[in-house]
Amino acid sequence: MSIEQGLWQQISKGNREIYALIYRKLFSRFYNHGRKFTTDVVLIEDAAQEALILLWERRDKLSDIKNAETYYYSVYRNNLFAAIRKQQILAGEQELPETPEFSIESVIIAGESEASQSAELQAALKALTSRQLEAIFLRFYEGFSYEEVAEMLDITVKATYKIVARALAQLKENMLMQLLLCF
Amino acid sequence: MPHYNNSSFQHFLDDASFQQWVLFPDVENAQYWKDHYQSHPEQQKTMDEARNFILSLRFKDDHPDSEVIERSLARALEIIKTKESASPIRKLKSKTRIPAFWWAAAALLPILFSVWFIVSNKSVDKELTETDAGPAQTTTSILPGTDRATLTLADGSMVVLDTADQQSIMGQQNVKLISANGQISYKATAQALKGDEMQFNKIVTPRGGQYKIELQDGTMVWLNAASSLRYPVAFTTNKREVELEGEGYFEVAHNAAKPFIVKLTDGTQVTVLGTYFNINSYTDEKSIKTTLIQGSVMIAQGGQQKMLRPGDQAVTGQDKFNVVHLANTDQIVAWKNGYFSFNDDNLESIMRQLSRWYNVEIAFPQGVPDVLFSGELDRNLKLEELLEVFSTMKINYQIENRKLIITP
Repeated sequence: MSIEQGLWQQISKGNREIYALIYRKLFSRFYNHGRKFTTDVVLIEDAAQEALILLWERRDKLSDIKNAETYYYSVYRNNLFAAIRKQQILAGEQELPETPEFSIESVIIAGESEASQSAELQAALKALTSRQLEAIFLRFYEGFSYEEVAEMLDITVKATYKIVARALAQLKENMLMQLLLCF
Repeated sequence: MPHYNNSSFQHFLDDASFQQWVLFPDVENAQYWKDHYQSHPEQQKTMDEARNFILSLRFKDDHPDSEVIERSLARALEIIKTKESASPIRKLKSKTRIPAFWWAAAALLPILFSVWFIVSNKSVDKELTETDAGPAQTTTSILPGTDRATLTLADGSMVVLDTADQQSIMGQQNVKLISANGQISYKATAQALKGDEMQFNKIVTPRGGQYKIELQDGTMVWLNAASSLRYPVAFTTNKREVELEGEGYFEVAHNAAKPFIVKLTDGTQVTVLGTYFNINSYTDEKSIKTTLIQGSVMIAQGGQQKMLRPGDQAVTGQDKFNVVHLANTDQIVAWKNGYFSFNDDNLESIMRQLSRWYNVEIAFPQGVPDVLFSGELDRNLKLEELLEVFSTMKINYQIENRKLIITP
């Protein structure tokens, strides 16, 4: 049994210390993810806390879940998106997007200083959908597999590959332009 | 113009295994891609470019400060704790146990008509929930127990502990004592463990009291009403020994080098390494019950020794030393979680528990009604509220000063 599995097993047995460890780790990750969609930290903290409390309350069912981490990541994500949507409705916003928008400001193309993140690059990023940006975030930053990303975004694995591939191709196209313009 | 094979660049970019190697290398994929790199020199430039591209896509770090994390964790644990001690559970089931001879008597005596009714159904499970009628107003309401205890220090001086104040009782043997919110904690300084002559403290809970102690080694002890714990201020020797009277629930800090031993008044010794268990050793109960929740303990009594596994309960007493396995230990530690839990318990045993917690005397002037009860009741109800539940099951009660009189 891997250490990871051992930890989850301890939680399902009711070990609060181990639960606290996992809580800290996951809360931090959820928070980081949430900040890509909203600056309202109360919303993010509540969504994360709810998911993690649910984890504890359903700890005896942990062994039934294939991948507890992605499962509860999804739970937190759904909580957050529902809360953001509710906020938007209450604010009287028309034309709500399917999912909240991934903040372009949180994407950094390394090698470009913030000042010189050119208009073209910005445009390139804006051309990507929130789903594409989130897919890249989940795959490249969080390190989830394509299968796990598909689960979280509730789409097929094939669709996930396509989304990421298209996003990368588009970006590459634009960065290529940048390189050309530099010469 | 930069010259590379377009499709092959994209190919590397979209390859999950390539991505994995670039971002999250491990022994396996590092080996594979290193080999590939070396055996395909014509692809090296493309691979480098794809690699750089992937690495260039970054995201801002928005991780929270540890303060934010800890605050959230603390709040979550609070919520969990509140939910777990639940709302007053007031469901109680009664089962009238029908002795055989009532079958014969029933037909003869018309007075026993109501009994005959029950008799014909063999046993009746009546499930009752507390009505909102509320208790009748009495001038002297009997309140449930609270966090109360008396602490006797090594020098013999006594301190009264209750929730009202946070007290900092000064360092004996380089150990700081803090009492607040129903708990007293022993925090040792580095000096404390230097093999000084051991000093002992004793905590005594009165009837209607309960208290929690955090010993110097981190062990937590919940003390029920009418109980006492005698223990060293600091564990300086190679054994951690404490003495218990009454009922206590222990969560023993793990220390393989120093076994933790609980000594009971009848000579029984419970030895533990690191574990959670409950000991019920009231002298007015038939036997001493040690229930292991988690970990492992060894019980020694009258020359015999037995090891317990989680869920086991050792029942010791005069000439008795048995081990049974309990399907569910929740009932044993219910008191520590704030409620009474009964499982086909008779009135006498139930009243004994109530008398300790509410500090009342019990009297059964017409004998003990032959009824068994199952269910759970919040420990923080006033006595009258609790008894209301029983009265709906044809158990009558009367309270005179601090005496509870039960009649059928």
